[in-house]
Amino acid sequence: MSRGLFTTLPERKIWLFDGGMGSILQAKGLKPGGCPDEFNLTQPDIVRDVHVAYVSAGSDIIQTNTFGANAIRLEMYDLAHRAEEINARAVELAREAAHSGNGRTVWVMGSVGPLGELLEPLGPISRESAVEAFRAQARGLASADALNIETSSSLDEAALAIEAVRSEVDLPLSISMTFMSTPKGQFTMMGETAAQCVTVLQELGVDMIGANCGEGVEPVLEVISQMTVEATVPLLAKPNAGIPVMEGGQERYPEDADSFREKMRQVIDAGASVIGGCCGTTPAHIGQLRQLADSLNQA
Amino acid sequence: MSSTLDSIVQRLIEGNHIDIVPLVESALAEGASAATVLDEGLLKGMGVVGVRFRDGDMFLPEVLQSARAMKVSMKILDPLFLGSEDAFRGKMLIATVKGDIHDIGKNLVSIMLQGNGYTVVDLGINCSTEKFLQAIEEHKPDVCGLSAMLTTTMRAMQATVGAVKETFPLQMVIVGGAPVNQKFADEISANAYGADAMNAVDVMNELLQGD
Repeated sequence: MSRGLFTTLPERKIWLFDGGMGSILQAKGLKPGGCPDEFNLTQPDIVRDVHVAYVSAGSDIIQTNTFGANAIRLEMYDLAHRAEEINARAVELAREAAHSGNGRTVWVMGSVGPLGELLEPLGPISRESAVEAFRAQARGLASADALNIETSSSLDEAALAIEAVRSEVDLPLSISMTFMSTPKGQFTMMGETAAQCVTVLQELGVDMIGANCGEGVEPVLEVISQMTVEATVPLLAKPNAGIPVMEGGQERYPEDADSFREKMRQVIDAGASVIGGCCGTTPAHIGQLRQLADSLNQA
Repeated sequence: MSSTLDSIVQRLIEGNHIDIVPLVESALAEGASAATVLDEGLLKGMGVVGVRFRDGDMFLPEVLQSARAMKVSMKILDPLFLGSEDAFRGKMLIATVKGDIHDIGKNLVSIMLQGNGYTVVDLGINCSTEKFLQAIEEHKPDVCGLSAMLTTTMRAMQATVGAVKETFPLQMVIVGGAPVNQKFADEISANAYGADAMNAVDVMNELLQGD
């Protein structure tokens, strides 16, 4: 597999990723506690439609609906044995949507989410079963253009995932960490700083590093500012549209498309070159970012 | 003896589950009651751990080490508390909601509550509403605790809390987890919101005081 995506990146200042998936699937019928990844098999049209909406809104990169499609997470829905199939179908759906872009190149990244439980010795998940889960997912995602190991709150788990997927596929790798706010600043759940993450991940030879999800745009801005100091690879920023509040039984995310765009402008100034959104962001948010990216790319 | 208790506090903060064992035994041999070892040793240490965790001076791996030191120490103390009311302050039934397998925050709450004298019945992760209702029937907890870590499982929390309130109108429920806040807790009619593991203990104390 070529390093296509990442050799192309320097050609433009800003590249546009997609926005939230799970939060939109919920609006389209995913039941509370239901399996978003199973939709790739049972509701492929809905998943493809979300991808198409992002392509139409201007995404240069879209991500497969496979955040939870590792055997350890799928186990709770008795779907562990279908992990590869769920991932493979997810790439097909994203690829079909990518081709809807009127000849514009749209890259497909395979989303590799966290295991959800802690690795031994801190938690119950054996390293062997974790490696096996990531390998199976990587086999399913093999025809993506790159993988995005995302929403990771542990460098240990991220490093294990990197090694595991590399034993299956030769794809460019993006690693996107999730940080939490403390009175001392932004840290991963394990206590790692943004600068530490960059140092360790660059040593592992990954192609892009970033921050996603979390508590909104401002914390991600803080993280990107710290990552920039150490980074030699492109930086990815995909924050949530703030922290959701419940209104009338529905989640409402505080950042609308306009305020999200204005805040993401600062994230770009801080050093991010690939931007998008996570939970609560929609094609409307991405459409706003498209305008922002176009104006910056033409400048 | 106070130096032994101080050492227990230190080993607990460091998360040294090996060296803390002979210290707990020494304190008891020196005449300290189990309640004293718990209050002035283990809980004092856990209090420091909780504050450091809240302030960003300690992180999950260290907290889990401290929890382990707490656990091995409680194994020594537990038999001494049998039949006494000293250590029993109330019972919580706790679970992570359906569709969510994150157990880290829930486990921290469970550790801090147990460390503060509460009995905790832990139903684990991915807990369906039906299973939760059955467990309430079976264990008759003073308070229920529900955790959700994903924005996509907040609605499962809402569904479970709703069912609990419908079936057991007087049952108290505390909710918590990364995407959860006071406003959401109010919206879904939970009795309280626990911002973090330390805060959950305070909230539990308050709820039961008003009992």
